[in-house]
Amino acid sequence: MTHGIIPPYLLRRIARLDDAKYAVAAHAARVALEHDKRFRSVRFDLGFDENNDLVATLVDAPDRTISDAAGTMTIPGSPVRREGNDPTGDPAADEAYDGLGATFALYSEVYGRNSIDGAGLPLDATVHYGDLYDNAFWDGERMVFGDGDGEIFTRFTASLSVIGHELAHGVTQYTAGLVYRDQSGALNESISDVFGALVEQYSRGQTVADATWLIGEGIFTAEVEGSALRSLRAPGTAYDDDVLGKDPQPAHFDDYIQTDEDGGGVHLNSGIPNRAFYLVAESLGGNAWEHAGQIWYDAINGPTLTARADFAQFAAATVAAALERYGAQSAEVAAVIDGWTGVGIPPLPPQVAGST
Amino acid sequence: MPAELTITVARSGGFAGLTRTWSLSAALDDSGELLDLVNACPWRRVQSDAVSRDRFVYLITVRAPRKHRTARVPEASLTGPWKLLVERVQQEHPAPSPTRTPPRSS
Ligand SMILES: [Zn+2]
Repeated sequence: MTHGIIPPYLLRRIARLDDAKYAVAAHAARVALEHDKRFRSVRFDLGFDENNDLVATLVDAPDRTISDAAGTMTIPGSPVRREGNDPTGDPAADEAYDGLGATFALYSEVYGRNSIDGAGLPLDATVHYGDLYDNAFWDGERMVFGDGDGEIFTRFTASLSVIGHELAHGVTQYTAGLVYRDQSGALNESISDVFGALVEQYSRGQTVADATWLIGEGIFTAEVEGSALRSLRAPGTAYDDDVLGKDPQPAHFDDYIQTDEDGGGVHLNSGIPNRAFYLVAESLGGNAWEHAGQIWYDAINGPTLTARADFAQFAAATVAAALERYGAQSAEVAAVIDGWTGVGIPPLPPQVAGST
Repeated sequence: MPAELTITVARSGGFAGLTRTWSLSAALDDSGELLDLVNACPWRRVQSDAVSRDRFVYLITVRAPRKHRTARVPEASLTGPWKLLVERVQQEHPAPSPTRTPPRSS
């Protein structure tokens, strides 16, 4: 079996093959060309069947472009690595490329989603944005990464969970569309943390018990007393530093923070749904991306979740998703109810939730 | 005490959710150029940014006798005089320790 990205000209050449020996491959190539006239990127798995005929299988594949802003705040900057190109040797560009690939793999292989929009949207990122820029963000179309100031933060591409977090903002934009303020904003943030953590766990093959559950591990310099920016397992414990202070994330709804800053504390109150997800995953054990991740993925794609959903409404959406996929008597439904109850947001029992 | 002009910039949001604050104070008599910059900013017409996620938001406050202005400017709109004003405040007062949003429980 060989893997490779087939460029469009080669796909067209394969599609024209007359030889019966290549009939299947030629058909697959024609399907690919017809299926997507804008032709983006498809992975072709080539092999031989029992009759020794060439068989081509089309698989979704990412279409990545990494650009370099070279220390300016101009987006997108100059392309430095396109899909299928060799590594550049620049760690930021190569980490972004690999991180987008790992994130694409989780959505495609586990949830059957082809990119951010579910329809093969190209994945674009800009690295080396700004001068000593202490941030990474999603601008509605692309992921943008700064190099950090070198005193508190190093480059933001150094953590796969950060890359997964940014791309998940794109997925939320195309699905639940959660408004970036107050509780719906904290949910938007939490969904990015959850899938950022899952990208890292899936990529490393880590179970619930093996995983760090940290967001942004490795982006603090050695000067900072802390392992990461956030912890899903134990919100409020990621760092405790003389300069930064202590990680202020709440882990329970009783400690919800009211503030005007940060869109109503979207990066703070996300600790509450983050902890709920961890509790569900811990209860179910094994690989968190399988059942717990599937339930959360179903919830953001579900029909009932509104853009201004609060924690209780999102909790109800996850119960409904677990009920739909695993059944009322399942361990999954029980784990989801217990998880939310554990952070002070007890959902209605499923039969009641189902009838309202 | 001579009348003073104080400009404060609080940058919140961002992936880390850390708030960082800078401020500048100057005697009002010596602040002609700075006041021109303040007056050049479109205080009542700040473009909002509903699409970006994890970007910084700048809370900019100007205080002087009989003058109190405040605006919340998303990073995407921090251009022109806004950018010059924020850079001026950041230069004047080299970045102190960043702090997280002070938690105030409900
Ligand atoms: Zn975010």
